[in-house]
Amino acid sequence: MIESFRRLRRGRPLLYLTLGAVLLGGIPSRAQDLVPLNIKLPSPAFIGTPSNKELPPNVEPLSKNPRPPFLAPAGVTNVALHKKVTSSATNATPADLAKITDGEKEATEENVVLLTRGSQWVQIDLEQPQEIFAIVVWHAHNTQKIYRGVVMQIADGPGFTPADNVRTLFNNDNENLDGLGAGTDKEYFETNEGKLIDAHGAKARYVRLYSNGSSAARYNECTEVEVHGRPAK
Amino acid sequence: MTKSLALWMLLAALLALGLRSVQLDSRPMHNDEANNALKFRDLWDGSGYRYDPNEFHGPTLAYSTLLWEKLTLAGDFARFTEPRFRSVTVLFGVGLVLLLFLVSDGLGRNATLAAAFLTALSPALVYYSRDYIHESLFVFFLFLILAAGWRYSQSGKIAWILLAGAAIGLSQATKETFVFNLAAIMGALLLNELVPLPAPAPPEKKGLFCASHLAAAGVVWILVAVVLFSSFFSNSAGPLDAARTYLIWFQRAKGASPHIYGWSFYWERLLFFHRDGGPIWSEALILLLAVCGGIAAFARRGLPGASRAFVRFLVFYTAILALIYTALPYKTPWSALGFWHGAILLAGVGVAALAERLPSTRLKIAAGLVLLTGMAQLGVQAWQSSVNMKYAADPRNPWVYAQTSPGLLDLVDEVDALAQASPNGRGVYISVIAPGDDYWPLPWYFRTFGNVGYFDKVPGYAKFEPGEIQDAGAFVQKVRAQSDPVSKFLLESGLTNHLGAAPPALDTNQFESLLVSNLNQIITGPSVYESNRFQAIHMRPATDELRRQNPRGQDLVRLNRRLLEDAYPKELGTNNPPVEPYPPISIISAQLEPDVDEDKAGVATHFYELRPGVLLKLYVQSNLWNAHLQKRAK
Repeated sequence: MIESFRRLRRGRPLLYLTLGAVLLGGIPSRAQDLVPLNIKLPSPAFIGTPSNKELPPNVEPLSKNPRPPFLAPAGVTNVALHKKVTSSATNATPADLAKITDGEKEATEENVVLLTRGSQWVQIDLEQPQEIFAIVVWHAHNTQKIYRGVVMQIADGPGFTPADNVRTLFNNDNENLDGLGAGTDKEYFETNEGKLIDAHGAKARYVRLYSNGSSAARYNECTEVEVHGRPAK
Repeated sequence: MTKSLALWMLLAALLALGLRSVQLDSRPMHNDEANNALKFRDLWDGSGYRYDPNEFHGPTLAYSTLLWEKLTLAGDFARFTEPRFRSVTVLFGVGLVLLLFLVSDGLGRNATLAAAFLTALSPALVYYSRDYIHESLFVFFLFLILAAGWRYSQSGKIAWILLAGAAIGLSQATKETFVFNLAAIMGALLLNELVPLPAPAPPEKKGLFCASHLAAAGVVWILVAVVLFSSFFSNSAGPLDAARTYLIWFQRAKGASPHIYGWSFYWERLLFFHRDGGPIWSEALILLLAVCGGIAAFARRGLPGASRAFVRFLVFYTAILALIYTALPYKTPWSALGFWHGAILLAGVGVAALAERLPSTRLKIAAGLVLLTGMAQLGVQAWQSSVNMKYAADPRNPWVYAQTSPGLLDLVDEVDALAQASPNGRGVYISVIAPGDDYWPLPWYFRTFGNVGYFDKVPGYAKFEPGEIQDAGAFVQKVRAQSDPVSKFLLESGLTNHLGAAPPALDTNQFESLLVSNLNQIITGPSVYESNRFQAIHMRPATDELRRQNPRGQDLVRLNRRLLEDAYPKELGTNNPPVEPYPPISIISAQLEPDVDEDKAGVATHFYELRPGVLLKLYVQSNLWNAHLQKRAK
């Protein structure tokens, strides 16, 4: 039985005919006497019990519902849009890094900024102290992956030294790969929703996001970072 | 049997039925359930059943379902639901309680009663009675062997031993692993004879066995097995396949399977199971009581009202079976049911022995309260693990294994809504694409859609695959000669990396696999075309046309492959796949994302979890997506 299904699937001509019919089906028919082709598509191939992969306990299961709306005061906007981005990764040019705050979030080759492997950060200068309500980050949602060592910090100064009033908003670096201390937040799957972190109106001028490769590769990626806030009073 | 025992047993059966039949749709169809359901469709639609020695176990599930569906006047397959299928295994789960009637004189009154309630409440038994897989049938037929065998030993009536023979045939036609149970039965019978009873042993009725009766039972066994494996004499290869299957399963048991686990796999699930954020699960009470029952079977005082020989047989049978399953590297949680049911019977004996032997009434009352509390705990766990939506499909539940995530139903709902927005309705074309056919149970959920195709590669996939290269050796030789600019380019691009000095250095398959990997590395990079490089190459018109389009993504991969094919037509062959369009709806495994042409696949809507860590992404062509959004806005 399985073999016959496999043969069917290998039968590319059948596939082409079928998908050709799809195209035909999608185009409004010009001649009234056209009838849909009756073509059998490849049937499912029966399989045995799949493996029971247990997610590590620190991984957040994918939510079955869209993320609920995040509530923030009126007038809050993406204050990171088109702001200057710097990074610890030496491979990315300023033009590359500018894509992280250009508002483009699709995980296409043009939008995803590749950063060198290991623990790397990207930093956004919001140009003035902001009251931050939420930070949303998209590393790369083109494939099913989990980013490692994700730490989000905010600070008043660019050096993120103790004198800069550094505050950690999110840390899922359980193994302390980034050397910033072990975090207790959960790892998560990259999706097109991005990861939203509640900043509770904290005031800061700089935002820094660490990562340390992903379940798919040792190098880092960043597609977009949004910082939703308003100028601090 | 007294009237009061019969009433209590019926109460236990009702309890078993209640726990097994409430909210039978509390979790989505498992991969295996969906396979079983769609295999049954062939039988229901008149295409018959054919035993497959590679997978999917034996025919009893399909034929039992057929019988049940005929009796309940089921209609069109499209109207079948999860509860309808699962109710078949529920019946066998409840039957396990009712079968205790046959061994009540072997276990004793109180032990039978306790075993009935423990069978009704055991979370493992409850969970898999609600799963449309073979397990509850298997345990039922195995118990039928023991029960009918016991009745024969007591009465000497041939009907009982013929029933036992039929039950062996039925268990063989349910799961291939019945051989372990047969081995355990034989081993237990032997040990029962060899291990002496402590003196003074109370006299017991000796079992009656007649060689001609046993031979007749053997004939019935073979007859039942042949009838079922041959699909009622319509598949002559079936009985032979029933023997051939052991070669395949032997390989699996040795380790060629994703279900290889250490010895503690079952015991962790049965005795103490805890995952981060979930409750602690335990059926340790059953093991504790079973140990009490086992000890009582060997004690000098004997077991009043029970047959010590039968209970000792159960001790040996359960211990041998538990040892076999613990030692086998191939493990799936439902396989625990066989020996765990033996433990439940012994736990019943343990309850009776405690009630008999505790010295004071006060102690008996205290033990009774503890027992009732323990049983209530089992009942709560059974409800939590099987009925409660929170845990029924949650990996923190010990009996959830490779289970479909409830989130997949959101995908099904979304596709349903998209079909409503499509002018073709449920005839809308849908492609489900996943490597290794890992898309189940979607074929079950899409059973009412007219045009669903299942693939393992995305449309337009153009990378080389092992077996597609006409002459790998000649190709590499030609490239190494560097007699043309393309060969020089390929050599510089790493085509022969890791290939060694000459093809014979590697095994042919390894050589080809490495070559394919290197080739794919090259064709998935930038365009290999340069006018000087391909000056002397005769391009097929379609290659040239594609080149002029200055393609990207998968089209560029295809162009690169075609260019190389044109440069080496004899060695690489000329695979000439036309461009395949994406249908209005594509559901694609996240693993294949790098191969997806985002421009053509449509709007990438959302990831959906098939199982923990296995994601599918839904793509919808923009016209359908917009129509869907408009419909939803209304």
